[in-house]
This record gives sequence, C-alpha cells and structure tokens, in this order.
Amino acid sequence: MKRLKKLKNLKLTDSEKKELFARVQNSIQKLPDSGDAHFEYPVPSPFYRFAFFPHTAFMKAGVLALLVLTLSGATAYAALGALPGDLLYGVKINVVEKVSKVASFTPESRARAETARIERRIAEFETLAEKGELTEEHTRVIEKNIDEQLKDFDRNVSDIRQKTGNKGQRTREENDLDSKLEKHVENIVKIREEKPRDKRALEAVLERVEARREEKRKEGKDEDNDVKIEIPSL
Amino acid sequence: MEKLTLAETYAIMSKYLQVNTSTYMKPHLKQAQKIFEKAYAENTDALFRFAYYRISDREQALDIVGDAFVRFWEALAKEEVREPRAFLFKVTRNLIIDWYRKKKSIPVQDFGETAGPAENAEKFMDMFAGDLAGADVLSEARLIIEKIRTLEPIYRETLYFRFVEELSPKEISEITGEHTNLISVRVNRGLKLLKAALRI
Repeated sequence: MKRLKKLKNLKLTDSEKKELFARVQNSIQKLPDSGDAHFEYPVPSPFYRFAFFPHTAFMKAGVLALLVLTLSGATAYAALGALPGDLLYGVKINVVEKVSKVASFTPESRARAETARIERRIAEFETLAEKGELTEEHTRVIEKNIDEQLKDFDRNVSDIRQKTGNKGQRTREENDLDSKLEKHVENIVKIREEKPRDKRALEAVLERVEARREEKRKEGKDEDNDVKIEIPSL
Repeated sequence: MEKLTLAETYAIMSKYLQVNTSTYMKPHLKQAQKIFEKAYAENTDALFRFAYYRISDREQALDIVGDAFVRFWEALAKEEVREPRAFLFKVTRNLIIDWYRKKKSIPVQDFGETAGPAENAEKFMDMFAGDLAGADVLSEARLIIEKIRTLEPIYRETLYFRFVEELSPKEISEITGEHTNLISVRVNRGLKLLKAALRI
C-alpha cells in the first residue's frame, strides 16, 4: 500500500526536535535516579531506515533484492543522479565514487577525481536549491562531503608537489579546481537571487569557497597566479 | 566503616566535589544513554505522527511524545528494553488514552449520547477521528485519510502501524496487547476493505 506511505510526510522540523530533546533532557535530569544523564542531541544516520528491514520475510527479500540491485551496473548508473535524501545517495557517495577513486593511480588523477567529486557535490546543492528542496540536513551532508573531499584534494596536491619538486607555484589541478569553483559561485549567486528563501544555505556554501580562498591567500600560494572569485556581498 | 554503594559514591562526587559524574556513569546507564539517543533519532517523527493523527493537536502531540521519552528513559535506567520502538509506541498510545480520560473539558455530548464518557472518550480518539484540516497534512495524505475514515476503528490503527510505520504484526501485538494472529487477520481484512474503498 504505497499510498498509505504518504501519511509519513508529516514530520517535525529540526528545531522542534532539538527543542523537544532539550525538554526531555531537562525532565530526565530532574528524576531522582537519573545518574546525571547528559545526552547529546543525536543526528540520525542516513542508513537507520535499513534497521527496520528485517522485520518480515518480505522485508528480508527486499534487503536481498536491494543488495543484488546495488551490485548491478544499472543501480550504479542510477545512483549517479541521486541527491541527498535519496535512497541511492549513500550508494553514490560510498560505493560508486569510491570505486572510481580506486581506479586512479597517480596523485594527478586522484586530484582530478576529487575535483570532479567536489563539483558534483556543488551541483547537487544547486539542483536542490533550484528545486526548492534544500534543507538544513542536506546542506550539512553536502558541506561535510565537500570538506572531506577538499582535504583529499589538498593531500593529493602536496603529493604532486613532492613528486615534481614544485614548492611555490600553483599546480594545474589547483587552477582547474578554482576555475570550476568560480563557475559554480556565479551559478549559486544567480540561484540566490531567484530563491531568496534558501539564502542562508546558499550563503554557507559561498562562505566555504571564500574561506578556502582566504586560506590559500594566507599560505601565499596564489601570489603569482591568482584566480579571482568575486563573491557579491550578501 | 560502612561501604558506599556505587550510586551513593556518584551522588557524593556530583554534590560535593562538583564533578561531572556523567563520565563516571554506571556502565549500564552509559549503554542506556546510547540506546536512548539512537531511539530518539529514529523514532521521534513516527511517534509524533502517531500522536498527531490521533489527537489532531500539534502542541499536545509534542508533549505526549516528550513524556513517552521520559518514561522510556526511566525504564531503560532500570532494566533492559528489548524492543525500544514497540515500547515507545505502547507508552505513547497509553499516554494518549490517559490524556483523553483526563480531558474533563470535553462535554459528554461531544462523545455521543448513549455510552458513558470514558468509553466514548476512547472512541473519540480513534485514529484520524479528529479534524486534520490544518496545513500540517498534505492534500494527497488527506485523501487517503478520508478513505481510512470509512473503515471501522479497529482496522484503522492496525493498518496505520503495519503500512505507514511498517511495524511487524509481533510489534503491533506488543503495542496493543492483542494476539499476533488477530493482528494479522485485521491487517488482511482491513487491507481488503481499504482497497475496496480506494477502488483498486
């Protein structure tokens, strides 16, 4: 009965959940034998829904079918278009992209693969913003992934520098990443004008790009070959 | 000298030594804390939905869910809770019943004319019995609710647990206190009736 699942759309907002959690914690701490319990507001794992699967034979069959599908190329292909919040998003991030990373053997190709992943994250962000489906949770997931991928990218760049003996000059991979980021910044600014509702989330990603530029500027790496990314004030 | 229990030691540490005893918490409480946080992350929306669909009052539903989690912690701190999800639904369900019974402000005539208030109070709080016309419920969901309302109350809750919250008949039986076989029969009959109502 798929239609009945529509009733599941009724949910609490993040702030309601946090507020309720604080109220519950407060009540628990007043209990005589609470053991001074102090809880941390839990962030649900994107995979927790799978924990409900093995309840019935149907569900077990579903898990099996899902595994088979996950291993098939069709799923991998379908997963490429998945967005945060989609069932296949985990497959995209943790399986498809990681497999493609394994196939990169040199630091240059690994850096290029990271650039493609970062670009994909920002594109996901833009798609969600354009659809008006951007939530705090989505932004957090994307930001976390961008941060991790930027770290991997920097690691590969330092490997390239070591390999080539290049100490001061910007690498081709860095210039490539910056020019791609620049294009996306223009796009995000455009979306921000059209969708002022998502301004805060859009701001967050722009600030991240700006922070990266600032960091690089401090390191003095872009003295000679500065790629300007102009971010209009918010 | 009389030996202090572990709990007493923690209490003294907390009171006089200004130590945050959560780091010295009894091992079973630390485990309970993890279970509690996980259960909160995974079940808050479902419990809220369940309460809201029964009482049609967002604030009251939030209060009930909050109370259910406090009771859940009390149980966790004392003993092992084998099925946290079923336990939480059961407590929420009982709290809803208690709330209706205590709700003296509802005039008896609002419940109907023939039966006594307590009996009717439970009837009144049947799944989707209230006015859910607010902005909280999407229009497509409202259409389904209209169809579910045509079913007898005994089928509404069972279908809701089985197909919306995806609980197993065993879990539903733990929540409602009815036999698993009876739940399975209700699921099948209710589904047939709903399909007929939806003309599928």
